[in-house]
Amino acid sequence: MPLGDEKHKLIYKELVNVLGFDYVADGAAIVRAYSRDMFAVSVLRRKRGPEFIVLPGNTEDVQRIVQLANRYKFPFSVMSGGWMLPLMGAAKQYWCIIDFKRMNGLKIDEKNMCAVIEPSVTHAQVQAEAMKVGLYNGIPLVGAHMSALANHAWHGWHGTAYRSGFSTRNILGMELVLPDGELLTTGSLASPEAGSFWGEGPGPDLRNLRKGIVGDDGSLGIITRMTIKLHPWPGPRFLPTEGVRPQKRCQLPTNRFKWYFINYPTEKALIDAMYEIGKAEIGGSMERFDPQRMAYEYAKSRQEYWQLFNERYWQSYPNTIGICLWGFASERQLKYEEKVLEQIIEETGGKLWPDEAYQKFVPYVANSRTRSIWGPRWCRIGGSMQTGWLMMDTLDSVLDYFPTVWEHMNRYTPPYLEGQGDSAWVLTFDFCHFAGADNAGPFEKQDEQIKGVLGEAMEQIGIDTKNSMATFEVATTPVNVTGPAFANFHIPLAKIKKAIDPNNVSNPTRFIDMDAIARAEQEKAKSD
Amino acid sequence: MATEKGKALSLPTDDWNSKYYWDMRKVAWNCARCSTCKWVDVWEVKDARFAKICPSSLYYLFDAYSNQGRMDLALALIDGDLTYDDDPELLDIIYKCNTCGGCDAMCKGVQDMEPLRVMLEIRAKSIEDGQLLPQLMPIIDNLRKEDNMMMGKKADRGKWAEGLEVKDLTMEQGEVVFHAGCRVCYDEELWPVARGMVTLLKNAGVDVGIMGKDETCCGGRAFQMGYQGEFTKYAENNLEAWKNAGVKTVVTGCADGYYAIKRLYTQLGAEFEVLHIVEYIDRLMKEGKIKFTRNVPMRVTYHDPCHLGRRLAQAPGFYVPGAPMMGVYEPPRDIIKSIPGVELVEMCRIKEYSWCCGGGGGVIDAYPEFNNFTATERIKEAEATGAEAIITACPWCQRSLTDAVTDVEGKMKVIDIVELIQQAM
Repeated sequence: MPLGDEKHKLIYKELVNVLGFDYVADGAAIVRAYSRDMFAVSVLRRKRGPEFIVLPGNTEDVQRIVQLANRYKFPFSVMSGGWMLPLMGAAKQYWCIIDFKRMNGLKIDEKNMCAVIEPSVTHAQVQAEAMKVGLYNGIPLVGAHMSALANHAWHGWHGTAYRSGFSTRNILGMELVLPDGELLTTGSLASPEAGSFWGEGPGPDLRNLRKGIVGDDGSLGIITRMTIKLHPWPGPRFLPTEGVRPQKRCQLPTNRFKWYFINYPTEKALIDAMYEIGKAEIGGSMERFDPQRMAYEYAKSRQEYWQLFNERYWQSYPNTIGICLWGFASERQLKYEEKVLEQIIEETGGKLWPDEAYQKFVPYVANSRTRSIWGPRWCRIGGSMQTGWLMMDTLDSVLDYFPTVWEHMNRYTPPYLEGQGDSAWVLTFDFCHFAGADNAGPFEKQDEQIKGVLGEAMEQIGIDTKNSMATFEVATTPVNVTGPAFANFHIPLAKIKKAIDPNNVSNPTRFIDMDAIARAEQEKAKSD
Repeated sequence: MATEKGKALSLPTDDWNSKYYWDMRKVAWNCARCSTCKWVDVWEVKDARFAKICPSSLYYLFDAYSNQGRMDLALALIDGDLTYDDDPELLDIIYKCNTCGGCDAMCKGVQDMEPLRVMLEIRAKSIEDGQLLPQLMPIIDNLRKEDNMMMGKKADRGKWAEGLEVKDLTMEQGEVVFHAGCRVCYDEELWPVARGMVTLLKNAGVDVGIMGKDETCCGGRAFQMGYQGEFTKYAENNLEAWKNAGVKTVVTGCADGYYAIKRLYTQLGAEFEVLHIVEYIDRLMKEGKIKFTRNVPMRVTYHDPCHLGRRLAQAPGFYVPGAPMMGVYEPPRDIIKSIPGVELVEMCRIKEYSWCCGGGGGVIDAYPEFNNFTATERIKEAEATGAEAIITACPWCQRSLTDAVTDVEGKMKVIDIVELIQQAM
């Protein structure tokens, strides 16, 4: 990276003119802290940091930074929670990371059951304020300390998504700075004084300008303010906890919440039971807990994790449905749902966990589905984890997914480390009308293992595109690579990108690689 | 399923990945950038306003000023990918940290490793490398000459106890020594607190003595600044002096000193019983030797000093992966709750989640504006409880918090726990 050349100095000076010295940095030490995380790509590229970090204070600041980027042709990406550098780390010269730490506005609209948030507000902060007025927002299992805005825009798999819906469906309104600096508002925000209570219209619904499942990595605009739905919360203002970290436990009020952990003999029986539960529209959250996830969220240390592995403790609970019934309206609702669920368990051949396992898991781990706490423990097993084979489709398509994934994982173990029986987590959305599955593979965070894992990812992308599977790797791979397998959707997207980002400065190479498209067009023109 | 397929199991090849042990580079390398270190445990966020745990991250904003960023810098320094000449701000980044351990306590919940220890070792390394923070140099020079961290004269050290009828352990033997600490000895406003502590012990029948003008710095704050050689020198001096005086129990009212003596001295072979004054009073109270007879109608909140709290579980050699971040959390609370008329209301961030007063790690000396910001945050948090006083158990915390209240012309009273006790007796 050409730190300190004339163009660099000019950009720095102009950024300082916009934000002031305190909020612009280009020092080697400062930018170093934006160079790596646990994911394979960014570990390999850890010495390649951005050239500038800027801290805008409001939407106007963001607009002015973006206008500068267009004037001086420097690339930028955005950061809020700070994870997922593979999708926002520096990829070109003069790269500028827009860090949102100063944009932390949060307003709860109790009447309209929504929250207006800025990018650096965390889920935990939204939830703390929402719970004061009996409301609640979904929490991604990666951790409630992550940005609520980014998570809703990008991919958030909320622990309560079974009831509250996939995260992007919880977006009511957005304020976006387009890649050329223009401001765009969506939903009712587009009508002056209308507020942000309504997501659709007027006119075309522009919420999906950010791509449906995993967002556009900020390559089609920067969301500077978002309105998200809030849902009824039947619990207390604060979560009642006991113990000292990391042995913290939480007890939810038993008159409004009740967990069931149910084992099934086969994956098919488990999926069938999930459908039945979804049809009955009971419960606040439901997922398939895989033994690996149970082990890493439960273990207080890496030593305990491997001890559990050797003891085969969580391996003895395969095909587990974890469902939490919430008495949203009353205690009677909870009682009613208990009866319905117990009937379904009986009819579908489910078997409840023994009390010993239940008492271990519920207060320590399961209750964190209301406020995710131990998610980041996934990165402890080997230091790094590939969120491989993550799919989003109908619930029954999970049955096709399991064997394919396990065969593939067997082939790539090592470099992957052994799981705890299996590591296929299934999260249901919208009362099982939609589901996601994730087979996470831990591996040792070393260059050699990382290269092996990246080789696996490349093969995986090939398989996915061949089978037209909407998995995570496909969703995060530039669409010009995957588009041909999916009705060439990259062609219209490229036109949109070109129209709103004519200088290709908004997180270039991510989401859609316009340089690669230009090269392909040139080659095609030559061959024609 | 990725397991047991008729071939050798794929288990970690690096033993660090299955059993934790101290290895500075491995800790820095394994930072996952999950950012858990920047926030209070999400279960415990009770108010959006008080959700952060790292003062440095909140004040300086850029990620370099967080535990995560400092792990990146530590790794780069260890690997030789970054030098002090590359960025004049590097040394400031290393020192603009209160070493409160909040980040470390949060990290240990998900990663079971010791990032705070890395930060302290990096400070020591920077000194070894000849990179000295100019603001701290006069403090350390004075320590070497005058045996204190307060820029005071050695001859003035015992003034706080003048007229106090207490055994001089430089002249006679005694089993219990009260170590006042540098802050108290040279901060005249705090003298009544220290005198109250000694009087309280004496009145409860404790055969307590002091080292008077011959008391020296515990070395704890020098250790936090990276001056490990100075720490060892003072620790050895104190151990020798106490041994010569026949001391079996060391008591102090200073949380920093308590941590140094209880945790760091142990590594030099200390075998004394070490008690913070709140532990001793709690013990005497439960033995019926201290009784609260007067009503003190006051709504108070309690500030956990970092070194009396979570830092105890984070000390080198004391960290047990998976074990709770235990500190002296309950004795001060038990004392406060035992005082008639006093109502204890808790702040959002307490015990292992406590927000720092801002004075630790040399920040009070090198970066007073950052110290003041951190303390002011705490005062605002205390005000949000509706309390009229914030109680603490450390003179460094009391100084930082008192100055913050004064600066904002606030009404919050800052009281040492012993001052509160005196009102009840």
